[in-house]
Amino acid sequence: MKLENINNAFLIWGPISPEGVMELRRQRNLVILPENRPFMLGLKYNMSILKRAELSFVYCTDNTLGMLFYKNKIAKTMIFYKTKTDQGITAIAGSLYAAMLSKLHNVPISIFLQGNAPAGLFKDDVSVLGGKAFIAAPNKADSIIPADDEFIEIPMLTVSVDLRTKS
Amino acid sequence: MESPLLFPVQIKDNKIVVLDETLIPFKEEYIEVTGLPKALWVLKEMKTRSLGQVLLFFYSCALFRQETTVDYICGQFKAVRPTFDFDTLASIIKRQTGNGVTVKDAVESFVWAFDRARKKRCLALAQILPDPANILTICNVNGELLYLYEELTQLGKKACFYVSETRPYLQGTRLTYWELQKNNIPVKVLCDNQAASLMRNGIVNCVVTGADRATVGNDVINKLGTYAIARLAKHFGIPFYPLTQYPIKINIDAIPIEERPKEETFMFLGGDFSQVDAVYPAFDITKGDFVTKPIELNLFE
Repeated sequence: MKLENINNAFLIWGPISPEGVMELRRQRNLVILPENRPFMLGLKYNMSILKRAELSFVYCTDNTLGMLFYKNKIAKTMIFYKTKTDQGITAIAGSLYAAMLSKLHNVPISIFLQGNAPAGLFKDDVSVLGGKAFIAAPNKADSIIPADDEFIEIPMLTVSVDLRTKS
Repeated sequence: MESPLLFPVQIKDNKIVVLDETLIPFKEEYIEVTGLPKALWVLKEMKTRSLGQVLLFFYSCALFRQETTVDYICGQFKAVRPTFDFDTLASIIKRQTGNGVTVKDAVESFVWAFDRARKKRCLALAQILPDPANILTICNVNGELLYLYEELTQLGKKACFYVSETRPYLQGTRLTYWELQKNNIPVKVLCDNQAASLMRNGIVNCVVTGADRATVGNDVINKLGTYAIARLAKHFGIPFYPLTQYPIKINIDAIPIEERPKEETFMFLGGDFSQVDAVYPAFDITKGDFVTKPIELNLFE
């Protein structure tokens, strides 16, 4: 798909849940399906759920998000979290990236409890892609940033009405 | 310090020899380019990019000009990679030739001057980077980070590079991590989506990237993912320094962004994804508002 054919899309981040699917079915917007490195949840988990739900989606690498926001292609971001407190949410690696880019581009964010993705999906790190090791240094642990969960404060998840109308 | 990426395209025995960057880090192999069609194929298949495409263009002009013109070669290169400014390269060649100076001489003198200029650019950048410099970078700038590390060290500054892996081709992991690690330079790789986390946690304190295009208004076009990093860096008050060359007066949004075949989105994943729709703009646009200072290559100083 070409960029020009993407408009008012919904970006999803994290393991999608039944509630998330219901929301997407209600809205029927095109879904932006990022890889979600290093676990590749986009490919290994979310894609089959979107297919089963017969939702239209377009796959992309995570670093495409900036360009999609720059070109005003995203109407809403849906983040699927692990835990939630009064202060904020904890979600998979990269959730802060998705949330902050949304916030900085005045795109509203909705949060949902994440779906039940199998634990085995969360084993990979950045040194591995498609089952192949790209970093084979003996001191691999010193060579990579671990894919820890990220905390996102509530204010980061909120886009003010003023900002939204400005865009 | 050494890296084949410093000069990924060379002339040997009157033939162009191109380092196949798609095979690194697993193999270091070279492709012989004996005519313009092969040069265009090498470009299209991403066997070389960045400085490699500059050298490939210059050497193609030097070796294949007997059969055609610089303008024709320029048009062919532009058709394959519309985002890159081959017009400026063609004008450099035309300006430097004549009065007994052959295209080959002009190209050789350009390559020498280019290497000298990028060392000077690294010194200028090293002087303004913090100590320690914890540098976030993306994609690959053909060995220039080796020069930067050398200059930082000579200034007595400590440095560590944090390399964004740069999906789908993984130039960050396969090229930048590889060349830095081979030279025992402190380096760590992150997923492209971890830039915000590193910035918020104070792990990186500056950003250095390449730039495929630059304008006099400090706008840049660079590898996909650069804009997000620059935007986040601005939010966190982290300086963003793109390494630029030949800035021109142009509306950056008017430059066509190359959108690569969707199959490339699934690079290195194996499997059949022919039924899956994907989007892959190979570059993105960063407006001057998010650029702290372009570190310009000064070829004619």
